[in-house]
Amino acid sequence: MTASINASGKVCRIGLVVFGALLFGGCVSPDYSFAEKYYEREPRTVVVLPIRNESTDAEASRYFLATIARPFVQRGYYVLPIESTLEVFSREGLNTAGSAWGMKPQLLQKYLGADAALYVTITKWDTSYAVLASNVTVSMDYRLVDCHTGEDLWTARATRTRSSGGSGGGLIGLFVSVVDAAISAAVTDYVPLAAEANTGALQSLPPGAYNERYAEYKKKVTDWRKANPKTEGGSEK
Amino acid sequence: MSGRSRALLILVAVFSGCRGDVLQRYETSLYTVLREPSPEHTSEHAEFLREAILEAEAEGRKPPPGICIECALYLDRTDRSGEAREFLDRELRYYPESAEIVAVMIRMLAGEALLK
Repeated sequence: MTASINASGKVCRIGLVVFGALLFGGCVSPDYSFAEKYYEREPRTVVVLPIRNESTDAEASRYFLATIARPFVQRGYYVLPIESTLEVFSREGLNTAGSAWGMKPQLLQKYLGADAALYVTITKWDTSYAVLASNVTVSMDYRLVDCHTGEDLWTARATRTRSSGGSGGGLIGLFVSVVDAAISAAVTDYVPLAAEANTGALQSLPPGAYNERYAEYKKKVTDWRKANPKTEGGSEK
Repeated sequence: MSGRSRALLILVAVFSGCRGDVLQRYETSLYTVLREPSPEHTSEHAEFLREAILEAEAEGRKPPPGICIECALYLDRTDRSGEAREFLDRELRYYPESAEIVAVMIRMLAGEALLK
């Protein structure tokens, strides 16, 4: 009987400790220092530069272009129309990432009115085959640069993979798997995967001026700063 | 007709009338023309953009940013440059921050030097 009471008391104590950890762990306020610096610049307009393609698919950058405006617009930014700006770059002899990325960000502000420039590198856009399955992978690095200062405002990396094939089911199942893997790899569109990756990557980007959560988010950042004043040396308290 | 069948019919009617988000449709249309920039697809994309703008305006909404400029570009590509300027003016009216790119596009349509 005593042993049973001791055991249940121990369980209760452990439960309390776990409950306390969960409770206070949830009370740690998020760090908005990144967003604070971001909003000091207040970028509204974004220009997308020609995409750097390090993948094995020569067409990747062209297809990727169709996917990048939507998530930025949904996040509340004015994205300079992709095709129109590329046409401008092209007419100025800056139609590749190699040439356009060398342009000073300040000039993008001066000529196109962009507050920020987006540099995207496609690092993977390919299909890898196993015997009975295939994996389609897209992977991108994103860098948003302040056109006024040339400083990085935000960086992100996103990868998405879609697998197909590999089911069992005897000889017929084996045959079906082989055919399925081959067909899927041939027709799988990389574009929806890239669109999904973009949307995921942009979750870490603070909302822009056209986003309905903009004012609320900015208030959170201001409130966080009031609750966490800087010390005299400029460091966080 | 049972309640379940009626609910199903209503759902079908609602979703068949739903044309999806304009940005999603823009993405699909742009992808089509990027994959195969034939005169037919170019013309279809120009028409899609024009209709998306007019549809938004008819519903009292702003078209998404950049769409009016893209429309002007595609109208120019399909030899309808006479209509293009009007769409550049619209972009500027809806989004004043587009002033610089609109000025560049006006010069482009006029065949002048772009980055002055």
